[in-house]
Amino acid sequence: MITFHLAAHSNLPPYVQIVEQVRQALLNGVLRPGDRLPTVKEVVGSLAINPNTVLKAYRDLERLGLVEGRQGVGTFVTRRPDGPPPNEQAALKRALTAWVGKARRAGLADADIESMVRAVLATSENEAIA
Amino acid sequence: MTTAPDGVAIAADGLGKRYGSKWALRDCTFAVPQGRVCGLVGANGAGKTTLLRLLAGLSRPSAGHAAVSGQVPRDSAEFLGEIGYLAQDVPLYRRWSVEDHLRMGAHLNRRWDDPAARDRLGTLRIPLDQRVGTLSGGQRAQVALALALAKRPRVLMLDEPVAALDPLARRSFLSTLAEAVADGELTVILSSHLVADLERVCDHLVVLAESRTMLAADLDSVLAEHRLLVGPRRDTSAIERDHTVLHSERTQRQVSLWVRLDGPLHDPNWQVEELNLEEIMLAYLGLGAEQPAKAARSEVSA
Amino acid sequence: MTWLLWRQHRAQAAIAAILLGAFAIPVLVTGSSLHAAFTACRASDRCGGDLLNGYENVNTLVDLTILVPAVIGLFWGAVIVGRELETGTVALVWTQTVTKRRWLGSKLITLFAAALLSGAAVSGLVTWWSSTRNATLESRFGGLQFDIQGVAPVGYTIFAAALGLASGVIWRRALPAMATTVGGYIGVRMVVELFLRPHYMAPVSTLSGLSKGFGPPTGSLNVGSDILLHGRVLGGAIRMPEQCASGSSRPASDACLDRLGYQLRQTYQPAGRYWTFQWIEFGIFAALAVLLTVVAVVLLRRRDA
Repeated sequence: MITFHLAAHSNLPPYVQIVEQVRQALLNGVLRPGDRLPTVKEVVGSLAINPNTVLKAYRDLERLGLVEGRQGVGTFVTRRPDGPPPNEQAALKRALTAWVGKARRAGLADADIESMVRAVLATSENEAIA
Repeated sequence: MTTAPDGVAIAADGLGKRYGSKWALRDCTFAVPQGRVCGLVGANGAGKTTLLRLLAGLSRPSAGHAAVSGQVPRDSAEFLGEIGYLAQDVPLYRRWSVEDHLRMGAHLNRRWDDPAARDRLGTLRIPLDQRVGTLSGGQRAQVALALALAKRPRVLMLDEPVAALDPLARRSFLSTLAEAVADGELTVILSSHLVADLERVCDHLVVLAESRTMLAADLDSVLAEHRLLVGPRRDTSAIERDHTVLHSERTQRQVSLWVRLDGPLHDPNWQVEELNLEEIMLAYLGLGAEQPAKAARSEVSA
Repeated sequence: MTWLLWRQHRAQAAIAAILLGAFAIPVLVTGSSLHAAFTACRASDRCGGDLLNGYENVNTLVDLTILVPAVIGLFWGAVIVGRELETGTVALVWTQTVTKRRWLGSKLITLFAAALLSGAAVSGLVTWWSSTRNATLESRFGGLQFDIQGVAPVGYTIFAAALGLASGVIWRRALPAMATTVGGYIGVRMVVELFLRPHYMAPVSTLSGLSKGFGPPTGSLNVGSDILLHGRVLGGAIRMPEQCASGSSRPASDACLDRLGYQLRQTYQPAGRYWTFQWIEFGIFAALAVLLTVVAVVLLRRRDA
């Protein structure tokens, strides 16, 4: 069963964070189609947040077609979001870990690394549009 | 069982309370829809406790009306059966055990969910035979909450329930509260000045400053409508006319305005920044000394 | 509410029962032997004050019951509502479904029933025990005895309870409430006893020669005595005139004073009026109790928790 957490100083509203965590869990294979998501009461009990927040997140996930709510039983995962399969995700993550190690040894601080990643994402997006 | 009209669990209309010549609360108007968790915010002495006592029927208004779960707050079993109230100092009979309090509740209330209360206290590992005076502050607050919830209220009123608790006890209390709301059919109004807690647990907000309502709205709307506008120093009368300016700061070259946008912002020359709840609260609470450009309005979103 | 009242006040009830028992036992035991002795001495018409020799301790215990109403006012009256106002538990109990009205009604019934019963039990025991003493030693119409026998002490008890209740509601704090209860009780009792009681009905006055001696008839309530000369009341320090004082015996000097026109006027309430006065005094304190209770109830309903 997945447990959620909320980042303390995130700009993202809580329900968006929950949706993201479910998507990531699905991509990583932690959650699989057929698994049951925690009940609203369980999430709310562990996070001390408003139940409507969780309801909103689950509704969003339902709209994305990732989960399905069954009255009286729970909310179940229906499919995996589009993205690379878990082993490919793991391989990409390993490559990234190696590169980050290289960058740090070269003298880049974490903040510089983040800026570089964002810059590359931005330019590649522009190129994709163009 | 009474059903509130239009699904409004708590309604106040021009509510006011005077002690002698001093008004502790004045012109208080707002509506909280059913199923919401409403945060009541304001500086000390702004009238939060007064408002909650008026809603619980412990005090009678000097002006205006209130309706809780569709009824006027009064000393009747029909009304008292609908509400739960937790006073600021968490009053309990110090020499009694937790068990004694549960028995008291069973004897004095018509609806009483004893198993749920025992279950809840058991999960929290609070021993039932222990004297309440020897429990920690957090445990006492949980006992009081369990008592209030066991009478199955439709509307629960909490006066600064977590102010004196350590972070762990606070989190535990709010979890219990959130779980009770998730069970359904419960509307909560709680006063607090811990903004982080409010952001997590509340989805509706009422702000009091200088004993008047400054804001009453959905939390999401509040976050969506309040912005910080920064720009080179210039004439701001257009902004002041079209929107509500809560607070302004001017330097020689720059002007910053904390505003509630009452419509689209037409002027593109402003740098627009989002505000988090704490910053919004501070802007309103600093308002006590100044008057807002427009009267506060309250919103009820479906 | 029954469960709540029992749980809240069971310790006080237990203490009261123990104290009452501790009081009743010596009183009952000594009382029966006193009654037996009295019956015996009456047969031979030789009853005197010495009948009570050896019973001094119980006598003192009985006299101490004059404190009972004040104690009840302090520990029951001032506490039953006042303590809950002080600790703030009213905010808890008034938001249960029982309603403030029923809560208050039950508390009042409990307080006054307990006060009535305790007051009646104590004064019943005291009155029964004192019948011997009344007949042989002191008048029951005077001072302390009037206060501890009959129905008057029951009136004092419910008055003290009501005074404690009102003080608790007004002050909402234990110390001032207790001070007001004790101070108010003593003050009112003194005023009534010293200034009002002698005049519930127009007192009787008799004139006599000084040889008759001072003091009202047995069993009556002394209101006052004056010395008159030729029908005029003598005030201030009264000195024996020389001619009557010169060395003669007492009967001779009395006769001398009579000849000169000195008279003794004794004002008193006759013994037969005892029960009338008891009920009047009970009525006064019961009325005060009702008044104070109404004040307490009105204040509690109007003021906020």
